[in-house]
Amino acid sequence: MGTGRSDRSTTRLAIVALIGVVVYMGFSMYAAGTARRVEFAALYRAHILITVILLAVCAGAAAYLAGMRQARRLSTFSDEYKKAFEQIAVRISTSGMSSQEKKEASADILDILSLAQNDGRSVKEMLGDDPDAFAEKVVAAYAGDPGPAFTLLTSFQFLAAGLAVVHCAIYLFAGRSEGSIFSVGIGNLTILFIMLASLVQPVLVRTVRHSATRTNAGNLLVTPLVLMVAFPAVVGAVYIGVSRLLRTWFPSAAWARMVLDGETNLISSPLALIFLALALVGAHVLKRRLRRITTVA
Amino acid sequence: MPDTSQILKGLLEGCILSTVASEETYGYEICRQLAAQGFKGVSEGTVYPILIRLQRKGLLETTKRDSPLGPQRKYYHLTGKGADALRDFVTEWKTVRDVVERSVEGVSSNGNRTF
Repeated sequence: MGTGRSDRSTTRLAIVALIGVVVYMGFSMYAAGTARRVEFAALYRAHILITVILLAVCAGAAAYLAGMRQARRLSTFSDEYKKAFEQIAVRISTSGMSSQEKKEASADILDILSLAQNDGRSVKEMLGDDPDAFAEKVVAAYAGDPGPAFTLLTSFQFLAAGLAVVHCAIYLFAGRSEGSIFSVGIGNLTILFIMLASLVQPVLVRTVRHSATRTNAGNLLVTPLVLMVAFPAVVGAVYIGVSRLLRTWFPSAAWARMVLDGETNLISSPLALIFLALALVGAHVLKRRLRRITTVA
Repeated sequence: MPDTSQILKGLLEGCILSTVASEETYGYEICRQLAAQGFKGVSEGTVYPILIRLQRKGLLETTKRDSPLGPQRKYYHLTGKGADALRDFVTEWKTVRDVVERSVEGVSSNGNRTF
């Protein structure tokens, strides 16, 4: 009975810690951006680095604790139940459901499976021949399957949110006063590759989802790991290859120089932030519309 | 024995509303009660997605409570809209039942009509 309460306490503690770290980071960023003396600026930059490390440690600890909780619950499951739950969990996590819905559905299914196992029932008796079909029904009941357009919009939101963070940094460091301590510039080619990578995301999500099907359940761990290692490596290799080829084949072409050496003009102004915020909201509205269309009545 | 599962599945939403109307309860227990009422072929795999749909339609609401097995458990109860839907279901069911009874009246178990 205490697990639910301790989960909530951990969540509350994590939120308070996160707010503390973000406020401290914001203060450090502001102080670094407005520092008049270089040595103070260096000190504040060290603070920012510390907060980034703290955030990474917090995120790692939260992921570890969540994994531990899940592992503790799953440790009471037989192999049959564990396999069924993992299959369902992958389908749900790669669906168009909101993060809250995913959490809720996973907790419900864990509870149902725990009770059924305690009653000595088989997975087949509970969910029929195919846990995937059950997962599909759950996804359809929550959100339908909005398809690649939905995943693409999510990628776009991540991209816009990332650019908004960069803009905030530019606005704080470069836009506030002259002689800023930071020089900010993102190459056009880099921006291009980030956009291409976000366009590939729907394919990656489909691949991970496919890896969880019954016929190749052994790939459940391998495929995501290969994607995590192989995908960035391939993107990096193509990035280097493209830049070298452009330099070799078009050494003096203006457009090639623009792509290779030009920097995307990230205007450090509140207007750009408003534009990005509108883009985020627009994507959110489109996603809701897609979900409404695809939800099973 | 005839396969009544398809007919019963069609009526499941109304019967789930009826089960929840009698007391606030959780998904697994709803399945147990339905099985006890005669829904033999209906498993959690069928009932859980229906519960989600009923909740999304605003016919059911949930309250979370601690469970002995660890994570919090969702308890379902009927909303005002759900009570209206249940009333409509009962009225429609009675109409359908009367129509079907009149239609099959006099048909014996071997399929022949007796006059």
